[in-house]
Amino acid sequence: MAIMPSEELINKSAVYHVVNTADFLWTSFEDSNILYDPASGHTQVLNDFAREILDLLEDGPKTVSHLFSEFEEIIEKELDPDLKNKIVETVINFDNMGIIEPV
Amino acid sequence: MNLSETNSFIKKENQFMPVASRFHNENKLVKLNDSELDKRLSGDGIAMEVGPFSVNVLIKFKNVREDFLKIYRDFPFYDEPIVLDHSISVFGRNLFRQYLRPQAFVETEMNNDTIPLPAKIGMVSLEMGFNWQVAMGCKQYLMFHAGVVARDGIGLIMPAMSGSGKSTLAAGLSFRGWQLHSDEFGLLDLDAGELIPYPRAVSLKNQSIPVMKEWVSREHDNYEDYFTPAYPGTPKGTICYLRPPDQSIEEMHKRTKPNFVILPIFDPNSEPKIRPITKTMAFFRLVASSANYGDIGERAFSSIAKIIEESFVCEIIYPSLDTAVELVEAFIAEHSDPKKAGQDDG
Amino acid sequence: MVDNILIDVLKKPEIMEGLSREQWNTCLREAKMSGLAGRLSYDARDIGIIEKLPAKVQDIFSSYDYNSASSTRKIKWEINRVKRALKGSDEKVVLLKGGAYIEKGMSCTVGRVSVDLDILIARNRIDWAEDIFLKAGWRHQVINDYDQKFYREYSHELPPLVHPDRYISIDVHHNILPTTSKLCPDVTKMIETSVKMENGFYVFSNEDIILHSIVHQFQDGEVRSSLRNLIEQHDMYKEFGKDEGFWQKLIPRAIELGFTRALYYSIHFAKNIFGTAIPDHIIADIKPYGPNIITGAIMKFMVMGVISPNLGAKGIARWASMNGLYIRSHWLRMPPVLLARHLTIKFFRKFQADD
Repeated sequence: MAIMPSEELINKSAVYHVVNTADFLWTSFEDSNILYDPASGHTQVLNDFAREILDLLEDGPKTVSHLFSEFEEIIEKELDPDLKNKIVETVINFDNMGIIEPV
Repeated sequence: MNLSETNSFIKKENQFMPVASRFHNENKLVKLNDSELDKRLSGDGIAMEVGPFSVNVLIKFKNVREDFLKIYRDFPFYDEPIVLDHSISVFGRNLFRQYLRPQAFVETEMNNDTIPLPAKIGMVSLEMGFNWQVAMGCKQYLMFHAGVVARDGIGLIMPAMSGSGKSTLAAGLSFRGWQLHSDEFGLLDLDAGELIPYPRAVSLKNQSIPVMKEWVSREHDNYEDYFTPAYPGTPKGTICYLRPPDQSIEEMHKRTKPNFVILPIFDPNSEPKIRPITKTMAFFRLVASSANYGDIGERAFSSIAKIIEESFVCEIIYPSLDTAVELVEAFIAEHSDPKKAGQDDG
Repeated sequence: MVDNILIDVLKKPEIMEGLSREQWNTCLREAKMSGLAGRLSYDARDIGIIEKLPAKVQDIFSSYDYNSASSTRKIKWEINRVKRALKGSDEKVVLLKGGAYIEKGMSCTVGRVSVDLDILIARNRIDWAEDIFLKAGWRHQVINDYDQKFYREYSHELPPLVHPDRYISIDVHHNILPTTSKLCPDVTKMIETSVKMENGFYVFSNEDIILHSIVHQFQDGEVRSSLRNLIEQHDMYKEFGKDEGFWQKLIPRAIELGFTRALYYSIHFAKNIFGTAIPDHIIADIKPYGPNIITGAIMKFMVMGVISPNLGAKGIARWASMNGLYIRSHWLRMPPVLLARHLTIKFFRKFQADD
């Protein structure tokens, strides 16, 4: 578990973007979305929640605060702290796997 | 037998060989008797075909040659120089190791560091050497650590770790009408999406040895002919090798698309059960079972995605070989559409 | 000149079209053991003859293609991860060897396999770098105290670090040779002249890149890499040599860093084995830095042994080359006169025993 990404998230000003969108390979079964990133060689499974977060980041670079507000627009209500934590966790994981990077 | 006689013998007995593979119609394959094979094996070595690979084999210990021939005598051998995938040599490194305290050193030409074993169990060294060459040297075919069998347009992959009984299950199915692709290394052609047979000595360990002997004896009175001696004292316990059924050897170039993935779990105390699994789970099990998935990359991902899309998948828990075979047959029967099987004929 | 099919093919890839099956087997075997099979595959494609080769050869080559592509991807990604870990810092980090070649897109990377990533940092920033890598998830491969101490005091690098997500090791150097070695250079000079790349990492100047490769081969005991390293240098002479400035700087730089003997060997073998196009004035100017006759003759024999490996059950040449080059690397740390005598006796005694 890396300490650096969460340190940046504490001030929530890090702008994340998805670097290799064009090269990603996707497949899906049941309710899972499986991603292969040719740059890293990693294969990972995303549930719909994580997929949504990645989609939002693929739309354009944004900070975690932006993510929160866009998510709230989609689900049409405020995010509870638990859900916000989950979003932050997912962003940290994406960063660790190299799918996203701070700009 | 002169050469033209042996060639027509080949044509009659091994009808798939000249046609199905693009490597082989260039070269002369021959059927040689044991004494001729023995002579060549101990001399400069002789090139043989195992599935898609051509390998030159040289063995300097008589007992190892005998064991080798028990398994491989009916495999295709080449009478002329060919381009080889691999070359393997089994010999003693010096006079002491060759004659006084015979110890089998295996040269795979692929930087292996395996410990030499006593020449008495040199066959184990040889088979481990074959495994090393394929595991390290084959990146052009997607490789699964799995038992693979095929029948009438059905291609079944059984990915599993050691101890799951996959070798025994693959062997068991192959002696009940299935074509043995491999008990350990499933290979997939990335272009055509077809499973490539790679039939070799089936390696049986400890308890599986009497189980398989009994199994083969039900169909063959001369079942002992199919087994090498048992080799005790290997790093994995006692090992014994089983020769693939004749038909599997003859059909070694017959390819089939995979359409079933079954994860075998051996538990001697269990109730036999077919358990559904998600396709996501099956996908990752195939990925985890592949040693060269990482090296092949994108094409490996796409190929496995396609296999899982087009396959029926499940897990089976079984206490014995009999029940395992029953469960497999039941699952296949439940999901086989006779019309579809015809279209998939590979 | 060396009579060896692999060298012939490396020099003139077009001869692959006419090889017999036995020649292919010899050629492929030697290529495999020298780590150059991927290179042959690339060359065949590059000159457009791949489709004319036997189907089996094409098949084998495609396996090596996947191998080298995979290796390149792993190194590129490790560079990416190091960059991510160092984000926010503007510390000068120099990529060495394979990492540098890949970053620069050098011709010697074709078909090549690198297994780890080497980077160079100023000695007083080593602890800082180690701290960052450990925080970012890398782990020490060597964990016992004795080995750790050995690395830090006597070696020129940290114990290797490995990230459990990827299992590529990164070697963090503060010099390019062990500090105890006679040839250990003033590395700050090399860092000073290093060039910044697009991704923020640095690489050595061209002269330093080739000198590093050279001194690495003739200093370390790595035997299997030898032909691979020689051809790597051949490629570099060809690529860097297009710039006249390179030839002007090469020998003065070798003198400045103390690598003249190694450069002499490299030029000598490149010219004699690959027929590398090296300007006459360079050959003349490096000559004074060559070795005395006896050392040179043995050295030549040993390198020839490496290049023409006898792969039979008893490989005299192979034994000689494996031990010869390894012994060679110790020469530089012990008085040469003493060693030459010791070596000659032991060497020829073994020679007779194997006959």
